[in-house]
Amino acid sequence: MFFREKFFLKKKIFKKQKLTKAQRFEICNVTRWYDLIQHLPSIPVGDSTLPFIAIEKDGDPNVKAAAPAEAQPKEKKDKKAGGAPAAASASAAAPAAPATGGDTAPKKEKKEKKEKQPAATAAAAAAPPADDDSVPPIAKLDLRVGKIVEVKRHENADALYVEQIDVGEDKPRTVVSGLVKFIPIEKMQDQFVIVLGNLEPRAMRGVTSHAMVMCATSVDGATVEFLRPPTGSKPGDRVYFDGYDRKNCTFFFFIFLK
Amino acid sequence: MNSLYVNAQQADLDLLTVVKYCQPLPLNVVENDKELFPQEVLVSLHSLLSKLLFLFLGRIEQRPIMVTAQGTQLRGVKTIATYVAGLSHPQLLGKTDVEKALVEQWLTFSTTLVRPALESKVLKNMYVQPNLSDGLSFFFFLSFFGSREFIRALNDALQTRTFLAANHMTVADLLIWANLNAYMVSCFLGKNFF
Repeated sequence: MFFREKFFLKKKIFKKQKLTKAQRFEICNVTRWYDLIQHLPSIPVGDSTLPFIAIEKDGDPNVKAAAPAEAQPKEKKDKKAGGAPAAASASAAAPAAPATGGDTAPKKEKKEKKEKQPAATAAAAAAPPADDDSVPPIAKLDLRVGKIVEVKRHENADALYVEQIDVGEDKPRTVVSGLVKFIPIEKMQDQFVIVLGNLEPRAMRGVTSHAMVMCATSVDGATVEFLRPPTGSKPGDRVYFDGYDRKNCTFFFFIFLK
Repeated sequence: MNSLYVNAQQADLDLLTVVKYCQPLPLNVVENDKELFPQEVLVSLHSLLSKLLFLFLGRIEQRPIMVTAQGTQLRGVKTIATYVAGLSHPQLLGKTDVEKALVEQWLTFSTTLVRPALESKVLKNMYVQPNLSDGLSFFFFLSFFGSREFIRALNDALQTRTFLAANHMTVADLLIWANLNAYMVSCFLGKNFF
């Protein structure tokens, strides 16, 4: 019975080794599925026969690493912590950016600058980010918590609202969104929503929209609801995808919504 | 009361996972009870020696066995897993007809490809490197492709899906997941099970 195994062990024909990063990325879909199932409730994992396997999330080998000095300071910040400095101060006075973590301040500043430009000078050409390839696409989204301070119907269109949304800047942004059919106007006032900020300003029936309100829709498209930030978040807080907040890209991301 | 007779070894770990998952069940799990089935010859077909033994004795080990309350005997991992899942969590078998067919497909995949590839202990790690200068080990190297292919097939199938057969977890996911545990340990922690 044991003949074959002992034979191989003795001759050391087979090396035992962990998979390298490239080899692990080859089976990334299996890994993602495996990790999902072992995190589901009432799965009997964690005893000696069926051990829990911590999956290392150390990045996509196909994505070129950014400058090592920048890649090093990793800020552990999830969506719920949300302590991003106010965007207004970063755009107004770049050197005086509020420093939550000293080492991450210059990085944040750069990001702010990138996304504030289209908003400040509406028609000016938005400078594309320097390292376009190294940033995963989902990390380029500038999602922020915003508060609707004023809402009214669009004068020229039936289906559009014109909102003033406070996203932590000097003055609130004007946003046009087609939510008239789905959300009544009294439910828009003073709501906390999630806003996609780094879009090119676009005129919609004469009113220029500087951002977009994130909503979720049902399968049949009948109901539309806001994506709501967690309670306690302030206007201007950044919303990250877990694992994608910096230039490192990982296999998994989970969005936890209430 | 249903009774389930299993081997205590790794071999039935996947079935025990399904049984634990469907836990509030009137089920009596017995490990390695020889008296009840004296006609069973406890050999496994994993090694060459036991295959020869099987030729002479002419019987095959058929654990796991489930004896239902009515006395019916159910044999085989796939059969028992389907039965146990249907008792407590019917959604584990799929809700629509297509889902049920897909569950059946992946259960067959599990018993015909995943388990044989992982049960031969030498081949547990897909990326073990054979020494090709050794003539004998070259033949073992040939049998690698089985274990490589099933993990690729699984990877391709999961590329656009969250779960294998449906939009929720099914018994096929559970079985293949539990089978893959030892494999993932060797891939990610570097330990192995010799």
